[in-house]
Amino acid sequence: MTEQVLSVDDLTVSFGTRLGRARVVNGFSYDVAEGETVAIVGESGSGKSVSSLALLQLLPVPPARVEGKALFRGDDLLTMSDAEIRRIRGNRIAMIFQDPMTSLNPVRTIGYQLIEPLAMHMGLDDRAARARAAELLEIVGIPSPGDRLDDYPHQFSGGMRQRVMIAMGIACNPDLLIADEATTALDVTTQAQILEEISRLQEYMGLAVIWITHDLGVVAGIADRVVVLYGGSIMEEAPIDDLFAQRLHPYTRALLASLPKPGLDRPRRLEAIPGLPPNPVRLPPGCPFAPRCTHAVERCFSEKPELRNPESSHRVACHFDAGELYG
Amino acid sequence: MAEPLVEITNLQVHFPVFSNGVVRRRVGNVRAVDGVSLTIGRGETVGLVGESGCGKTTTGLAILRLIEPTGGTVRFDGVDVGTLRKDELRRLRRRMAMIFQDPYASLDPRMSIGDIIAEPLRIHGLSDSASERTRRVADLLDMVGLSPDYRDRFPHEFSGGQRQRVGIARALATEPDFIVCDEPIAALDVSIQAQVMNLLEDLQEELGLTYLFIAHDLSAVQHLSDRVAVMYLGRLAEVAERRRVSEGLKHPYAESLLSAVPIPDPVVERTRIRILLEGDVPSPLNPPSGCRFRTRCRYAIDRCASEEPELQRLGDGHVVACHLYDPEE
Amino acid sequence: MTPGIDQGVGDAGEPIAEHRSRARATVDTVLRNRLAVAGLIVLALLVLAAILGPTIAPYDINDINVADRLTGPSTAHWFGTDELGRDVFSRVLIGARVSLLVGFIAVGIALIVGVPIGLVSGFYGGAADSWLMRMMDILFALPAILLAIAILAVLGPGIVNAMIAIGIVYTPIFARITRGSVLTIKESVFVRAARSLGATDGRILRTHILPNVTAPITVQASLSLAFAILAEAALSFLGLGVQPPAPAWGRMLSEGRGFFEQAPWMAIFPGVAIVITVMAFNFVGDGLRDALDPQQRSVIESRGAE
Repeated sequence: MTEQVLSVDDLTVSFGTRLGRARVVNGFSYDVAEGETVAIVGESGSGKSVSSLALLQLLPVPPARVEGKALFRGDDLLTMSDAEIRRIRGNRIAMIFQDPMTSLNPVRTIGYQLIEPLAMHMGLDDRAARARAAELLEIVGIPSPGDRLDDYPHQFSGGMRQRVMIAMGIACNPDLLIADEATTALDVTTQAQILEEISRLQEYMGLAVIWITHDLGVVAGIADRVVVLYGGSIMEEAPIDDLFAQRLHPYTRALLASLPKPGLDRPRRLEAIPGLPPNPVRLPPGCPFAPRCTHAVERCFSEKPELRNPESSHRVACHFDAGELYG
Repeated sequence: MAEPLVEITNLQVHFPVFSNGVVRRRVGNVRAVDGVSLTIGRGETVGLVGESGCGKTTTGLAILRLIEPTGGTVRFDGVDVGTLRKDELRRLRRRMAMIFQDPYASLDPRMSIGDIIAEPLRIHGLSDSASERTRRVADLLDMVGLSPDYRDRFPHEFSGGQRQRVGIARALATEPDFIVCDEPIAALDVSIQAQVMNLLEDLQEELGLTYLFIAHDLSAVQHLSDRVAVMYLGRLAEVAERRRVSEGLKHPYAESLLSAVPIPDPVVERTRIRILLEGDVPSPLNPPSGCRFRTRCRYAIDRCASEEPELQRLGDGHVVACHLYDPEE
Repeated sequence: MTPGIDQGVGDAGEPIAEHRSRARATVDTVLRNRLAVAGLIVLALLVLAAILGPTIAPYDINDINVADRLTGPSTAHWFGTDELGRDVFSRVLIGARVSLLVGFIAVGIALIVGVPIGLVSGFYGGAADSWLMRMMDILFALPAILLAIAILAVLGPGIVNAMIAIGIVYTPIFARITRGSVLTIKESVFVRAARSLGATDGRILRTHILPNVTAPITVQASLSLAFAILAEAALSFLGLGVQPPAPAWGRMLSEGRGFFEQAPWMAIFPGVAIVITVMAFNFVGDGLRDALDPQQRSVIESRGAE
């Protein structure tokens, strides 16, 4: 059995706000195997970004409160000391974000920013680090990498900057890459290039990836497994083909049904999901999706469903099974 | 096609770029829109699609004369918009409206949503009394699915999707004929996007509206539009009817754009052939000579560097700006 | 005719945040800042002192009592007496009037002149902007007190002229701040939306720009009040502000200088009064800035469920 790179167990994150306690992540449990791509799909308030920031202790505590376990090759990330977690960040686990312009320091050259993790984590001297940095730029597909080391972020296009972020991410050969909406701000043609790039790198390096997004199309293209989030909880988790084919959870089903589908004959009107995403400060007691679920009954509003079939590869958090719901 | 409502001929919007010296000289032009011709029929939805820097938003703004075109003409219901005086233009604004992309920035944070929606009524003196105005605002709120009880609330109390509905209600206040929708759903949650798309469709049917739907999301554009126009670096690459888009677009850029759109179906994704483009979009300050797309086009021939392609007619209103489809070749 | 609800677009739902006007939200935030609250209390007391001064003052400010001159603080005279036997406490109390009056009116003048200049400059730009800002720059370039003195040299000393002088000195900063805000807001999407509706420039300035620039102006006003009071103190110290026999803290400082060894209380109390007043305005100003600066607003509050 492939080794688990990451094993998240009952992760819970809440924030104290003026209006009450915001329960942003409510008991996430999932695993990432070596070389696997797990897509975490969700909308605003689903907890997708916060849960990943929590893994690397990147949330300010307080106001955040983080509970649960996150085992990275057996060691709990959440209880590590500052020094220990700093050795992991950028080194064994890398993270790339949506907006490369704010993730990159505008007043330092790309070379400087690439060399930083190389020198820090791998102890390379200046010349070796510079050579490796140029190599990395080449790996991510930036032309004339040697010259571009001395350029500043604003001299690169959006797509190029994101490639630089990827280069920084893989610089120290991490085991796991977390990409948080990494292509959301990019043009669709650039996005296609970047997705291709990451796929290639994954194969080449045996990299495991957690891909956080709201775009089910992107998910369909790159994921091995999908975790569907809503209102801070996991609704459904399955291998990619199973998820799209079976779509067991009402939210998954409704979400996929609401997407515009290009094609000759399709109804003019979309099947929209009524209502609004939940407010983490005023989370209802039962299933978070109940207010918008066409199959909801009283029990759904008072009792939060557990994950059915927790041991199988396809898990659903619903009081009813597919037969009962869809006949 | 229905009678034309908006006729754009050779529209040009160039922004001058100045040097940073003691004496600022003009060193060039950003050719944001560089010769776009398009006709929008009454009751039609035309989708305008393209990636960052292609000039689609600038085109929308120029049609409404919120940005002054530097060349070409825009005719609205037969009237040349560019020649109108200030007061005439103001009157014309009753017939055309805009819905903006960012629901968090397009509403004045200091005004209640009732006042925001009533503003166009005030500007044009469309209601005889305050109570009539109130009634009209209530009707508009109702029309977009918001309860009139919330008229005194402020934008920050609402979600993105709700704010966008307020923006739509505001656009409808003067009973316009034509609405430019600039990326109206891009900033919204996925589960809300469908709601707003349905709303736009319903309103079009109910009120006989004409839309120019500007977006980068090809799926949404295909869904809502009757015809789709693809822009690249300030010029039109292709214009085709919706059905045609599903069958496959002809322009090399449009083709790769379509192939880059992710489809929420893993089987399709695994088996499809993606046409990946090399490199980045050239700068609009200095577009390539001849066909602007030639630097990234795998079919480029010599003629592409020397001659800018005209829009070739392929029948059924389908036009492509590419030498490959020029009968002379 | 309700396509929204009839055809199942559905109810868009309720607002997601509580109903609080921005004014209320600002007040709430400020009240949570302890220093600002302390400042507000001090200011409230000062305003009371200014209004009720003559009524509650134990002695008349011109109650000369040579027998009791230069006595230290006692139960009869809380702050002691000066070289003419006048009660220092009463004089400090009445002096509050002068300070606050000059401060508020001077800042009022600066607002009334500076804000419109900033609005016109920022909104219309061009030649008007260049000329107006050059003028403001010239005023700005001169040190505040020197400029005030120069103006008073022309106009002559006195309370009204002091108000005018200080008002002129602080006009450029209001013009600058207003202009800066206008430049930003002018490019906002909601202003573009107003144009798309056919709004005239005037309407945009009145309805959209002005209400949205009040935040930085308010913060600046409270900070300028602090400086204006300090400036008044400096001017009256030099004998250029309020003329005797009306008491003014600055002049009391000046008069107290000569007697500092024998009767330090003559200078200490007015000095402390100046310091406390200026600090109070500063704290309130800082509290307002923290409350009105959009970066400080909690993400959850301003954007709802995120």
